[in-house]
Amino acid sequence: MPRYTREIAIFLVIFGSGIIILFSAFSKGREAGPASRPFYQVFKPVMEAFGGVTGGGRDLWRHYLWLVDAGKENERLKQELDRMRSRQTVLLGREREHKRLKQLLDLKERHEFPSLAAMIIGEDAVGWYRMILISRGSEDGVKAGMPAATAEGLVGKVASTSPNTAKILLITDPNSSVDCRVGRTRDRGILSGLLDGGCILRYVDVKSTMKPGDDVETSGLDGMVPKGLAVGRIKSVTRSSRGMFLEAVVEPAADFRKMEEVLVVLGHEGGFDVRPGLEDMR
Amino acid sequence: MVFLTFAAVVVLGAQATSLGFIFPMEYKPDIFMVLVIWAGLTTEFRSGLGLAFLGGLAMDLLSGSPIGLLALIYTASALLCHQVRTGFRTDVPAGKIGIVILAVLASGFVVVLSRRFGGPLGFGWPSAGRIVVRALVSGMVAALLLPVLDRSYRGFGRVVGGRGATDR
Repeated sequence: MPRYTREIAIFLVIFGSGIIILFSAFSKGREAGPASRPFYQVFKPVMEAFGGVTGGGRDLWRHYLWLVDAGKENERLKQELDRMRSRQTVLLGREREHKRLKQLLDLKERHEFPSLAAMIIGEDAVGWYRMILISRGSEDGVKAGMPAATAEGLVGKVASTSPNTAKILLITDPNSSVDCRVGRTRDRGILSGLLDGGCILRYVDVKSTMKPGDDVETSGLDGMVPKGLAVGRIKSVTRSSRGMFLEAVVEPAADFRKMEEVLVVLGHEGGFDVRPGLEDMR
Repeated sequence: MVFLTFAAVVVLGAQATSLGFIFPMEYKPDIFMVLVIWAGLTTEFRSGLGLAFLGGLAMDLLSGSPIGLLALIYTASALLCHQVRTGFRTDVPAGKIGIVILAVLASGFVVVLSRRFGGPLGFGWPSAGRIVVRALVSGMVAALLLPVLDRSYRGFGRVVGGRGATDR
């Protein structure tokens, strides 16, 4: 067989295998297959090693080369801490009052949900998807669909798992969707990501009075994400292209550039806070 | 093939971790494409194709893309590189950088198009601008990385003996 024909044949065989793998990927479940698991097990230490070197460089930059304004920032943070402590005292009082009122109305008490801390060991390799890799997987109880958050707010949802790693699709990815509410007006909408790194809240009632500055939180109505998790703050409000709904550009609460760990919220059998009257159906 | 395997592991590790520290995610250069283009222009056909396909599968596992998409993109890039090599002079650095920029442009459009089928992704100037900037950043990184790969490959050849800088 001439050399050129042989090379084309090799290419067609490999390309055809790739097409078969690509189309079979759409019908697979979200747990890593038998071929992928050894790859993640072998490559996880490599990524942790690269991450360690990068982290060392980052710490050197932050702690030794970027200390010019550390003193001023320290003073500012101390004053802010004092303000937060005063505010916390007021909020604790309101929380106690809220608990008493909820008991009076015979509503179920929401408990702290079990969660699992995980280190971020990598991010999307190509940069076209907003995704991170964490150091926990299905062996630790992580399942697809579970939400992940930081102390600041919701980060994303688990997209797929392998025994010792998991991929989290961030809320800033255009393919992400989270059922949310505007905190002040209680209007519902679906939050998805934008290419520039922000988020957009779509399908909000056109009569809504939401405005820039309003907080957005999770609604809990999908049964997987707890109600009341901070998502972000509204930056601007517009009408959708067809005028049937309002859309709001949302600045995420979580700082994706600085986060190093996330908490994966593990589900429980009763699900999360659902609409009143439907709790006993779970 | 040993050199390509080692280079692929280093590039994959850097692509998924360290590069995010230097570049914002939306403009992260595709250094694995630089490696695929270099291998397609320098090493023998089967080695370059194997690197592109298997490395592409690894990239799929380390990203949010459906498994097989990046493997196909890199494989097609490796084949095109081989065809260009047999028909044109490819030892000019500007030519290699141009090929990298075109390859990243093409892969970007394919990925955005595939995402468009999956969800409400805008396909206007923000997407196109991002693809163009990313291609240019990849070209700039290629200008630094390609000579390093050439020198490393020549050094590797001297250490282990056998093949030299180019395999034709």
